[in-house]
Amino acid sequence: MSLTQEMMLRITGYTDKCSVRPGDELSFHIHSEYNESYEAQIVRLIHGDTNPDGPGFKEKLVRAPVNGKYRGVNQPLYAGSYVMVPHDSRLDVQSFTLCAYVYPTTPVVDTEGTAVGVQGIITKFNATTGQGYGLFINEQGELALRIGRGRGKFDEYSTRKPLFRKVWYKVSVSFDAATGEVNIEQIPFVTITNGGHGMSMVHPLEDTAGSVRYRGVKAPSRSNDSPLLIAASTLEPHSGRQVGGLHFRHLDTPWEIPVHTHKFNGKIERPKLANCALSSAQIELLLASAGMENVPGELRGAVVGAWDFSANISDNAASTHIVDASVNTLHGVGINLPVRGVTGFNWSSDYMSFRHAPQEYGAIHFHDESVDDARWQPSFTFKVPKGLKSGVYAARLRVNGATTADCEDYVPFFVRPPADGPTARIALVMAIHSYLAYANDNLSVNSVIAQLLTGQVPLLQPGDLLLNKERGYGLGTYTSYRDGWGVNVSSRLRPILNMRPKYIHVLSPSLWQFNADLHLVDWLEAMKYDVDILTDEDVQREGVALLKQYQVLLTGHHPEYMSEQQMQAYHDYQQQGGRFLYLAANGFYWVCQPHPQNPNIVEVRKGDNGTRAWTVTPGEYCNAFDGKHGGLWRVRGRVMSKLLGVTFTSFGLTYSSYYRRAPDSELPETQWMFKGIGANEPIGNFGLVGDGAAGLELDRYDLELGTPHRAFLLAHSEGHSDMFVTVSEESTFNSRGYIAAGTGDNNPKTRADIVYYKTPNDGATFSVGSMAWCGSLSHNKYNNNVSKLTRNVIDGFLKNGPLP
Amino acid sequence: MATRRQSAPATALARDYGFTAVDDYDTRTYILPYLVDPESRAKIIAEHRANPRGAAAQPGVKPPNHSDGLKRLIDKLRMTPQAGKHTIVEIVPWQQYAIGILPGQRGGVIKITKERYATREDAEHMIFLKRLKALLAHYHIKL
Repeated sequence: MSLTQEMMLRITGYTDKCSVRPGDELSFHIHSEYNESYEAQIVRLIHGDTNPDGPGFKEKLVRAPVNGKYRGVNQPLYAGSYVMVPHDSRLDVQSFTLCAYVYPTTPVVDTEGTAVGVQGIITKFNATTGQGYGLFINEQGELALRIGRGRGKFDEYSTRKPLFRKVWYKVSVSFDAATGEVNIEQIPFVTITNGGHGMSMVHPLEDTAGSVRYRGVKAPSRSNDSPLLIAASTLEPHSGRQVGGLHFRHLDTPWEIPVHTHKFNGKIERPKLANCALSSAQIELLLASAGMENVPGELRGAVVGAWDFSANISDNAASTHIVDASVNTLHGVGINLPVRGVTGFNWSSDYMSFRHAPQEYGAIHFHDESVDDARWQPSFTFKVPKGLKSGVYAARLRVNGATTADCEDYVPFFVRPPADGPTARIALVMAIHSYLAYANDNLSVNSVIAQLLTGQVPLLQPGDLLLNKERGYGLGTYTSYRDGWGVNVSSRLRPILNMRPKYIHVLSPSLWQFNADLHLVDWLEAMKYDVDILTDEDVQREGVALLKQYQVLLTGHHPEYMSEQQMQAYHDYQQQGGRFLYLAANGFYWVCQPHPQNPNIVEVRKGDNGTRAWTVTPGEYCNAFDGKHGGLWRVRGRVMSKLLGVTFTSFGLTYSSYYRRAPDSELPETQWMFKGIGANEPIGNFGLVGDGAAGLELDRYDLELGTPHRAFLLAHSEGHSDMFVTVSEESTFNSRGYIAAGTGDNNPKTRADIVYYKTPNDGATFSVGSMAWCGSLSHNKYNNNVSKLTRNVIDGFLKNGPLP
Repeated sequence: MATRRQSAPATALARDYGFTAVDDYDTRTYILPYLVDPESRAKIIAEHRANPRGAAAQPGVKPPNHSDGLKRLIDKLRMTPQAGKHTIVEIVPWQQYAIGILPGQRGGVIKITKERYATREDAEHMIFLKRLKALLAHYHIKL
């Protein structure tokens, strides 16, 4: 075993549910890299930061029948999106025509220069046995027909011309079993707009247009039991894994999926199969229809399948159901959530939403790294006992009981209060949607710019080594797929290795997201507050009815990703008198929409605006999951300062700074919060996140951006280093020097503001505008002015009646 | 089976010559002058050693921004392409760190070298020195 393998995490997993109540049962799906047995224990997580300068790691063992030793099994993950049409004898044609529009995005190599290999476009082909037929892109990047000869062998007939990246092509191949003739053709179909950022003139055309006739070709072996796949081919027809329920709930019975290979990156539109060799004119007629609408009567009978990707676009393009418009109705399903609602070969740029012109959004974009669900076998189940305290929990897994970092993983879940009502007056909402957005970023290995943003070399932990080996287990929305397209979908149904206690995050000098939120969980425990733990998923489903049960509501340090339902719930909570502490920065920022049938999967589209890891391709601004404009809430009229009093202003993923009190903190309405804190005392010049309470990302007030007119500025930070930069949505013109797009040393907008204001019905909002705040709470054994101020505010908010 | 090799046009544009040329100009113009003189170079190295990952601002003290020379140098070094780039691997949390080498691609193997350091800062500084050495070697300057 190499040193890398020795250091790599060898156990991991995920749960089927995120948020559970006492009495609920959840299953754990565990992968053991080397089939080693492991011990599982349920623990309550309190503090996940192992930094010796802080309180240290804290967990409490939960006695549960499920605790014990288990046999470990290596469970592979079959990533890569494709459409599957189950095996049907009508698909086992002898003569045939295959045609489609395709837009390859890695015809030969990916954006890192690595060869992608053979990619299937429309295949009924078993790559192991060499049975069947299929239209592929070969290793040279040419359109190619493969005809199986059995025993693993096949013949290949290509256009002998390379396909170009980000260019639409009309592709077809016909085979006549009687004459042995193959005609294969790739013709660029280029308009000014249809290629997105691809070129709009291909000259000379013959560099990439190809049309070749082959003679004396033998028919494929008669039948095979592989499904027909679009954007892949079959390695093994039977994987033992099934799809059904949740986002496949339209299926009457579960469908078994294959193990797939030859995964394609790019778009496909109007794929069709006919059971005879058609002429060029007939192919032209077929491709002129999205489905079968303009196919003449004499041709209809020859069409075996006509999969119309625009057919069931409704208010959303979230369905996994793929419509076959032919008389055979050989419908398919999209596996691993291929991206729907994307621009097609005929996109004119007259429309920016598939809702307005589904006919111009008839393509699907496939990526060979997508994952909607790992579909691992359950390893054990845990029934949440009655009376279990609401909190953050995990199954702690240890290979052979070993405690070293490579042998240990935690699979988190959240226990909310029982259905009959809250168990506390305070609730903390854990930002599961944001954890999903940041899932498995793999930036340490893939991102050049990460070291510039953070001012340090990334630290790789055992989980990072496994993650890179597994190509990100489906990645997350801070990453691009290997074809350069941003990852817009993130699922919880797979290991999320950066959502773990003890994890040190690439985007911080120490912690970020889940593990950083445990700083707050720990402080609430240390202060002996009774707190109910909720999640984004609960707020999404139950709205303000859930939130208004609590007098005081808190977020963790970075609740950045919000759905429309969540935005509404928080607004209504404030409107109805809720008292809200936003101990965070850059929250309520990106539009993030759960799948309408599966809350474990969210979508994010990063538009032209905002501080972002990638930008959507032209015309693809709208979420497939709800059809609404994705990107910043700011561009949908819901800038965060309307809800929080502060708006995202700057970030520096490095060391932090401290706050100074502002005159508003001495007013009768506010001075109660500062009891025990000196007028000139710097606040938070210490902490576990960059050694200061003001850091990572910063928010400031802005009356022009909806900060309420009676808001108070209680404190502001200063002294941020020149690693802190201005957010892009505020930098309409970049310029050197003071203010405009400046850095910590020359833009006074580089600061975190603590803002407080009252809301209707005796409500109030308290915002700290910094992601590092919670990391300072435990300093000096919890005796410090960040802790004191937070405690004063919570205690004041817990008092009934009007606020001072 | 097709055996043709379909290659991209062999133009300067296709190999991103423009970026490389301006990057070279910038390095020679704005970074190397800080490094040619051994005394100035030693000062920059010492500055990095003192504060390899940055530091928090403290009240009453000027925020710890790096000097112009170190800033320009370190930003350049951090943009080293991912393939073969040095990284830090945790061996024993808070006690022992190794230097690793990135494969430059997802799915590739991250090589862990035998070098061990007691702190992240020590490993960070050693990587800085390795990158600096490589940059100077590229411009035929001995460290």
